Amino acid sequence: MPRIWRPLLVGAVIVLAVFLLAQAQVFEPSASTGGPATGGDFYAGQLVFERECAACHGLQGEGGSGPRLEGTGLGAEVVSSQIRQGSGVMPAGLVSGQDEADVVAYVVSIAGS
Amino acid sequence: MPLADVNEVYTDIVTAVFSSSIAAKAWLATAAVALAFVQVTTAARIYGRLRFMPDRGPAIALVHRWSGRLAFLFTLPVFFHCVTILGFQTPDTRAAVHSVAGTFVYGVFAAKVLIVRDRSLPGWVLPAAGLTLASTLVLLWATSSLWYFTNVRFGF
Repeated sequence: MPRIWRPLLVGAVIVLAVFLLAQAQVFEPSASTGGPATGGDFYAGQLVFERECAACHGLQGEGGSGPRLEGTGLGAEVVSSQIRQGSGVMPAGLVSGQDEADVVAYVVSIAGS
Repeated sequence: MPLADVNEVYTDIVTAVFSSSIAAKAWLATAAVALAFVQVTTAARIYGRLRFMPDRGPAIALVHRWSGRLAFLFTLPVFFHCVTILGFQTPDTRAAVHSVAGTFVYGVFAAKVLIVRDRSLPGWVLPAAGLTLASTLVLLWATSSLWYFTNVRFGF
């Protein structure tokens, strides 16, 4: 048997190391970024926001045809209420369930509250 | 530097060019996959296939090596964000497949690099390793960038 075991062994060690590093999530956003505070996922919320909200509020919440969200200090309750009730051209219940929780986490984060 | 600041600095850097850290990953991974395609085609030419391409020679080998180096560099920011910030997640099939493939990709890469340097191995081992690496990258791209472009938005 040629020395095929050597690259396979090194590869397996690296796979294990990456798995352990991924489990550790050493640079996971802290609560100060607003992610976990509402039970939603910050990054999942970012995707939902880009898909459902960015057309009006801007890709980074800087505003557009809809009001600015970035740096406004909006809290989770206000954001959630706005999503559920809608306002003006914004339809009520644009997102719901886990998507709502995720997007609230994201918006609270960029609002900086 | 506090851990949270590392994430914020990373986000600040990538959002100087892209709309979000996730958009940045989608495009960097796309660049890596495009270069992986160059890797596969130049490797095929080196092995005497794809005869419509220029003759095998130093130029093809040079393109092969540099496309590999660049592809690796493009994956580093993606690796940093995926592994150290998002971590191993299995909320749905797509994310689970992506997490598993992502866990394996650098292991496959390291094995392939070692195989390139070992002349004692059978001739089929290197192409097999290269195709495994390219396939893993394509799987990663399909479960992230392609999904992002088709389900979230197609843009920078």
